[in-house]
Amino acid sequence: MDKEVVVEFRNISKHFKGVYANKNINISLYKGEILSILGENGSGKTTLMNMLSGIYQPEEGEIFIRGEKASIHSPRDAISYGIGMVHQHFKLVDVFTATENIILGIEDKKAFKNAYDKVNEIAQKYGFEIDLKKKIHNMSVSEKQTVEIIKVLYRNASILILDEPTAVLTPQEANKLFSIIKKMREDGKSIILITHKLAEVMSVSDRVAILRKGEYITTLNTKETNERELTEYMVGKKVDLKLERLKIQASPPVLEIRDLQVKKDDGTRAIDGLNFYLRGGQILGVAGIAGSGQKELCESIVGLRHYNGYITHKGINIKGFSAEKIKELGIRMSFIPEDRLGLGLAPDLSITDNLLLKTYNLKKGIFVDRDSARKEAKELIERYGVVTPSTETPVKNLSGGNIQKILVGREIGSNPNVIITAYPVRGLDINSSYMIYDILNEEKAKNTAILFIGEDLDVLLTFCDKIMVLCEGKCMGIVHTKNTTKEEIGLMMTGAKNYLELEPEKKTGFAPDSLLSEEDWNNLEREGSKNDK
Amino acid sequence: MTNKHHEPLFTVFKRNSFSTVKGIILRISVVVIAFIISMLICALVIKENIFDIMGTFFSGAVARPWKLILDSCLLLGFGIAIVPAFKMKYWNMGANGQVIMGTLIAIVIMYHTHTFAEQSGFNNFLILMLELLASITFSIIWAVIPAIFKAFFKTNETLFTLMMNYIAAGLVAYVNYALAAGKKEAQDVTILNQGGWMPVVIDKYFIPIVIIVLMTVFVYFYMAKTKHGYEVTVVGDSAPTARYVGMHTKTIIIRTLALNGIMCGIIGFLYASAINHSMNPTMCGALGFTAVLIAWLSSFNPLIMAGVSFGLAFLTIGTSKVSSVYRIGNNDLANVIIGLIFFSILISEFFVRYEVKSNIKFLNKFKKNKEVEE
Amino acid sequence: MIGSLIVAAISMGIVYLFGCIGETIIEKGGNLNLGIPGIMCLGALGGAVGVNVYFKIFGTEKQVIVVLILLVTILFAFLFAALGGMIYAFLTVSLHANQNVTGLTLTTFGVGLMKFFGSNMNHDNFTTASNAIKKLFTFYEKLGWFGENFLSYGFLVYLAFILAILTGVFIKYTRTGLFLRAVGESPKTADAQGINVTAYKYLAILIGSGIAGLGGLYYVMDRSGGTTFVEASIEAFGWLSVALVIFSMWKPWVGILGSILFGGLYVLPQYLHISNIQIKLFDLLPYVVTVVILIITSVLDAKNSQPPASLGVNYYREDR
Repeated sequence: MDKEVVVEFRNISKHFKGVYANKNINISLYKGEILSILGENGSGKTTLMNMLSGIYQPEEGEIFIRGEKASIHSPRDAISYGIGMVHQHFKLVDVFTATENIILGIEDKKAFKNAYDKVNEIAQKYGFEIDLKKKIHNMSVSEKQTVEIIKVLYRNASILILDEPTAVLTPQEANKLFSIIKKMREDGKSIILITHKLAEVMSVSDRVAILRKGEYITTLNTKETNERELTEYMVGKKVDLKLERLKIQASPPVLEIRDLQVKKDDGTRAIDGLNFYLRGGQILGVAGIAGSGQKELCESIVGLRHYNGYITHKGINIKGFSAEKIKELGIRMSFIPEDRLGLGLAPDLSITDNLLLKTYNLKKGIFVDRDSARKEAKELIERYGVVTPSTETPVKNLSGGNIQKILVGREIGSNPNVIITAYPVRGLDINSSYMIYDILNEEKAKNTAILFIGEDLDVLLTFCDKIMVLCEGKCMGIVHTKNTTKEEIGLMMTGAKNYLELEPEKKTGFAPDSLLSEEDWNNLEREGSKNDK
Repeated sequence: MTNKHHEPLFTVFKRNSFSTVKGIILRISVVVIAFIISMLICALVIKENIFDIMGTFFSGAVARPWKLILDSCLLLGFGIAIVPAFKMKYWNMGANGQVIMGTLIAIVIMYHTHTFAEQSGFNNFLILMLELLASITFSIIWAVIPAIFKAFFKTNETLFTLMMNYIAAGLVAYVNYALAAGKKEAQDVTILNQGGWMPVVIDKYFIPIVIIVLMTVFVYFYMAKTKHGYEVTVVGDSAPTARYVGMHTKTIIIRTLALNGIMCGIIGFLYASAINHSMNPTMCGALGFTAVLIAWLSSFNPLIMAGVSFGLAFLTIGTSKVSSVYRIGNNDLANVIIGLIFFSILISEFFVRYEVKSNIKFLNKFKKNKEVEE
Repeated sequence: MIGSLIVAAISMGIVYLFGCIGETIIEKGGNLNLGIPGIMCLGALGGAVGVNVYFKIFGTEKQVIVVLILLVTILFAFLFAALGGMIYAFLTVSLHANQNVTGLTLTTFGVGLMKFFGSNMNHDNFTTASNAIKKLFTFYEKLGWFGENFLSYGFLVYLAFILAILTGVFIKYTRTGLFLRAVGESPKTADAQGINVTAYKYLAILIGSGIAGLGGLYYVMDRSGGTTFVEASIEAFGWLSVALVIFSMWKPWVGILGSILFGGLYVLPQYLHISNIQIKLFDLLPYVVTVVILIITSVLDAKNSQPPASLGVNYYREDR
């Protein structure tokens, strides 16, 4: 029996800034199946799906829905075809409640009144737990995702698109999501799952379509393939890239942090009493659900945020020092932030001017020395193979991977002994990602202390020496990567397992070979409380 | 389920690039068209031959070349003064107020010292320097107050600076009134003898013009070559990034607005000592606003700004001549035309940045036929 | 005296209130319209045109029919102002032009247009028209202090209060209001949910501009009795209206109180026994107080007084 085709892409093309994001794509989706769309970051998966959901307009080609040529000119049109998309970056109004978000755009005048009943019905059917009166900005990431999914189901969507839905979830939450998706399939819904994780493809999908650099490669039955074959299709060649943990002798602690307390912008608690230390030649990974205080932790260490507690660098107290003071002291700390264009770089400025950021003030005089910066830019472009028309191109015009190379190149260029990095490979293709990993390993070999905030647990487990797990700003334990599992980390991320409570006698996060004696720490504390008064 | 959807008439795509030459041609032709339309409207209102009106317009505009150059330079000066602030994405709408405060204090000094100043050239020079210093100080204060609150509390600077304009204008009205108290009719304070006046070289407008041109050159180098200018650009592009690399963003904001104040102070001083020798609340007209539009639409490029300022000054003087010859109000016609021209430029900006594909069938057919013919 | 001060405060504050209601609606849809001063001027011009149209149709000899002249002037003021709004909407929503620059241009344009056409216009019937417009209940004097305080105003005053309350209800409690807020907070989200962002923005700007324009009409034909037209500082009132939106925390109900406060500051000098010179200083009061209010609201930085999240940012669906 042939299955009914619900969606068919025929020769779809679309380009941005002169580069093809999609080129001649032909993919079909059958009724009642889970189809994975697999591809590296930047391979055009999201662009393609945005055309199905009416956000982008294809430049060439046609989309057929249930055998008829579809005319989708807006998300509204897509909704009327029964298409619903859960975007990777949630589309929710932060100041609205869950209900208000769910009924947005629904013309039915009774929607307000009936919302509770209908949502409860959906929630029971699939096993969601949700507080409908809670405002979005008070919600955790997985709660937000639940609202997004209910939103789609509320409109009786029969074609669901989920864009990288597990990126922000713990392994346990991801498993729950997959069982919900399978339940939807049983209801006859057709589901498209966008992902770059092979394990997910293998475990949930019926078929998998592969994109590479905007082009359609092939579609395979999941049962008839394996991870290695998929990787080859995805990257386009046999890949020997292997993530490895460099084994070197770690040196004494460089950065020691005790009793760190940080607040979020809105005054609520971000980090609550954190103790840990970084050794030279060691990579400390940080795992945690998005928004567990990672951003605030980084910003405190590099002096961009006010905090309570102590941070010492090689035994010197740097509490309360601003970024510029840390720089003046000659402490070479590099920070590769999560929001590259918003915090690390100036998007409208050229590559040259962005490299100047760290060095413009080193030379005396009132003028900026652009010539040497330009030379530096040329070197950096060559060394890391940055693809750019010139050194004077605004960085916002570069692709994600090239932007990150500029940022990392600049930060490493200052020869740091501490590197703080948050999600450094987010959005990068495989080759760029491995380049970043290699750079970090090189730095590790130079005895640099590295804090690596990550989201992919598999990466954290193979790449880092130790992992600190954060849950709502609290440390759930610091574990050696060789002695733990993904599942255990997942439990710690949600607070279900807490080593600090299980082994209180272990004094987690206090360096046994601290550069400061207990007496010194006590002195710091006394001084601190004096200053606070 | 109804699956027939209305196709939009136009689809808009972002352009990859647009050639500079094409862009210039597009903008110039748009301005010319807007100008012709404005003249047509004039002709309709006045009920006269459009060519006669245009004749009046052009002969009026060039009748007093020094005045034309001075007005261009004043527009340019206002624009140049606010360029650093705007590069920082600080919407300083208060150039008027900042200039007026400079004029205010200079006039007050002139009022009290003009007899002393008139006695000898050296005294006059001293008084001039005093005026300049005082003007700069007052303008800095006026510019920096909103900047301090912006830096520390993120107070909305757009409205703050607007209100400061009205406060400055009100203070001028008050001082005019207070100094004229006792006289029969309250009128603007005017310094009639030459005490505290700027000496005349070549023309009474020559020195102001030279000073503003020098100011323009200075701002160009300040923004393009100095560390300060670089910092301003970074703060404007991304304030968090500036903080991240260890720049004192608060200091930079306040420092930049102080510079803005210095330049406005100089212009205010020129108004008092060289141009008007008097003051009144509306002396700057809409210069502050027009300067914002000029600076923004010229992408803060001093050279383009100079060209646009000249064009607008030409337009304003020409139109005011038309207004007075045909007795149709005063300068308001000029503002209407300026408005129309800026609207057209804004429209042309869209076509520079976006590409429009029409989905109207017969239009496309027409286009295809044309392509075939070619 | 306090009573008459409040009456005067209300009668001045209504100018700001119309502007504030209009701008609130526009800002709730995510557009910051700095063209409000120009739009209010266009409203004033429209009102003046309306008066002339009325007398052209009905003649100057007969008794003025209050309902009709109100209808005609309001219609014209609304249309003229909405036309100004249309320019702004087309440039910012359809053509993605910078909102501040477009607004400023509109202000320059509107002020110029009002003064240009206003000074070349037949002013003969303005006083007659104003007398008809500025009193709704002719019998209020018989009702003592109650009549004086509550019934002495023209129709437009009551209209402003009603509009303020209705707008508040609309924004907070209705489905359409919720959708409009979603557009202002996150147009991306609203769009993905099938809300027609462009239509919402256009309508908010057109209706908001129309309402703001009534402020100009009110000032010329009611508050100032049809006399000061061309010299009127409507531009300044426009900016104060925009400031009032911040003061009212985007809540038209609070805007009512704010407008009375602002109006009070404007008329206060006349109620103090001070010299003409001092009056010149007191004239600065509304602006100084506005500055203080701007500072206080920013220092407090209260959570429930935040502007719509995407205020001032244009929406283009394919932006990434």
